[in-house]
Amino acid sequence: MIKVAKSGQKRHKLKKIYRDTIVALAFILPGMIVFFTFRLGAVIFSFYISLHKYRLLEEPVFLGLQNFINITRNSIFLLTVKNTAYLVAGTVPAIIAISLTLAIVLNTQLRGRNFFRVLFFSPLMIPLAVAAISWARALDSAWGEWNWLFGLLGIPSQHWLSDPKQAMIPLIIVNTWRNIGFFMMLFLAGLQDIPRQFIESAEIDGASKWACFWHITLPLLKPVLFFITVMSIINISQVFVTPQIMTEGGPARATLTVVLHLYRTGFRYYRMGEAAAMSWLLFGVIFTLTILNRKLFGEERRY
Amino acid sequence: MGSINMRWRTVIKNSLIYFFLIGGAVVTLIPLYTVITVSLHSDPYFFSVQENITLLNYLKIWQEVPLARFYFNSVVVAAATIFGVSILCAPCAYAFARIEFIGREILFWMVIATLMIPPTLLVIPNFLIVKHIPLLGGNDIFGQGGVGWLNSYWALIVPLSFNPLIVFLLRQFYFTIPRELEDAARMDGCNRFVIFLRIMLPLTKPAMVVVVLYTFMLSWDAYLWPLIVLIEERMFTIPIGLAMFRDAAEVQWNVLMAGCGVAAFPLLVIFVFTQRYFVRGVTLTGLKG
Repeated sequence: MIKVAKSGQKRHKLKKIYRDTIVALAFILPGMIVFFTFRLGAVIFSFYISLHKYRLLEEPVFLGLQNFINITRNSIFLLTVKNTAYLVAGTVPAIIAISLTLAIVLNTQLRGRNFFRVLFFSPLMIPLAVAAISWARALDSAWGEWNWLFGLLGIPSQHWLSDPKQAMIPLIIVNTWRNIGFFMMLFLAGLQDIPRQFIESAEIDGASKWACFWHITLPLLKPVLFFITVMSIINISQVFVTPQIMTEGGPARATLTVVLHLYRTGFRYYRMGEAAAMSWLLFGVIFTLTILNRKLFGEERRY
Repeated sequence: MGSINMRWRTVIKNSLIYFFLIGGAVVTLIPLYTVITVSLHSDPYFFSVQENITLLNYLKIWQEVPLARFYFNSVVVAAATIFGVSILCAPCAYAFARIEFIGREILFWMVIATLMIPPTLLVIPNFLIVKHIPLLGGNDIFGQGGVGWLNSYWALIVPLSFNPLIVFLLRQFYFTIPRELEDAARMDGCNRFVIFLRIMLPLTKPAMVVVVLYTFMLSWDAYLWPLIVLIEERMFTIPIGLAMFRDAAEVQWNVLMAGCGVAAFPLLVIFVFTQRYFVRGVTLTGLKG
């Protein structure tokens, strides 16, 4: 008797799962079609493309890993990697230092802190392409506002956008300007997660503000800090809009980033195979950094 | 003595902090300042001549480039993408959160795995996929012969309508809705669709506001993808259109800056009124994502 009842229950449960699957299908099918076409399908297709000589109007020819070998031997690609590394090395520390400082200052009971928070976040609200055009004007060597300001201060005019040695500086400035608000908000969220008692009790024990920050706040902020480091590296290593609009990769390829080069390879010269291989190399670097971050700092926050 | 000293120290410290904050604010506002001052001058180059203030550039920009058309394109694409995200992501997230179906774990795992894929990787394959969409844009059933969805709104809307991050976020929100509520509704004879529409969606309105604003921001800001799939000027969105105008032989800075002002204005206004939600959206998409 009992056995029969149990198997009946089981069958009922199985039936329910089948019925639920049909219902669920109605919920997920439209989304999954787009997902399998433009996300998962695209990833697999991209890998396929990267293994072929893939021109727009020709039949693809299988090359194996030849594209990867070719681009890692290509001096222009290596230059773009160097440029991108330079951009990341200049921008990421600036973003982290400024956004962390702002977060700490704006986490106190300062008058007008909400105003400043909103203000520093506002660059994210301007389309980056539009902001880049405006910055290009402000930094213009002949009639830009910066040089006008420098003139008032007695500093000689700077030709940032037209000097190969300096052309990366405007890009570092603009990408820092763009991102500090966002990361400041993340730091603020992290700071607000730190229990107040920790710092209060340390202060009662006579620890200085600096010691509190160094020995309590910063270690507790570590997971957020490393999350932000990785995230900003991922963002900045894919910079495209600012060099495309402000410098067009020049002068003398000084600001040609990986993604700008990838765009030109793929859509100006229609060498899709090589471009796809480049995107996989870029992904490889980003993925390695993410895994490294998980391995080193992946432990949950516990108080 | 000591307390006076302390007070002085606080005053000095606070003024130093404000000095740096205001300095930062000035740098933050430089592009906006450039846009306003340059766009208000009749001379394209020099902005320091105070006499020639004019609003003419804000009229000129609509004539020199089809800015109204660009605007229309951007608005249509943003609105349709928001609509697409709402009807594709929200039901998916609900099913992943609340319905036990065959293959749920593996499907959800696949969605989460693609979160790691940088958008740059998707650009090349998606261009070819969009070009070879079967039976549309002059293509045959094998996706050959025409241009597919290239140079159309569809290319801008559909690939962005499924966002794994939004699915993940909404799923987290649906978990916070008590299950008893749903069970009670089922006792009363409601099916899943009614539960989703009448209970889940109304209860997660704040989350949907975040999703809508986030999607609007992504769509309004998009540059690389529209640059690749749009061919004709009449299809350009605002960022593409303005960048093109800038590349045209002679840069008329004052007119161009008026265009930039017009392009940046709507989102800034929306932001001022909704910054609460944006801030919440950032902490959610950033830390939990």
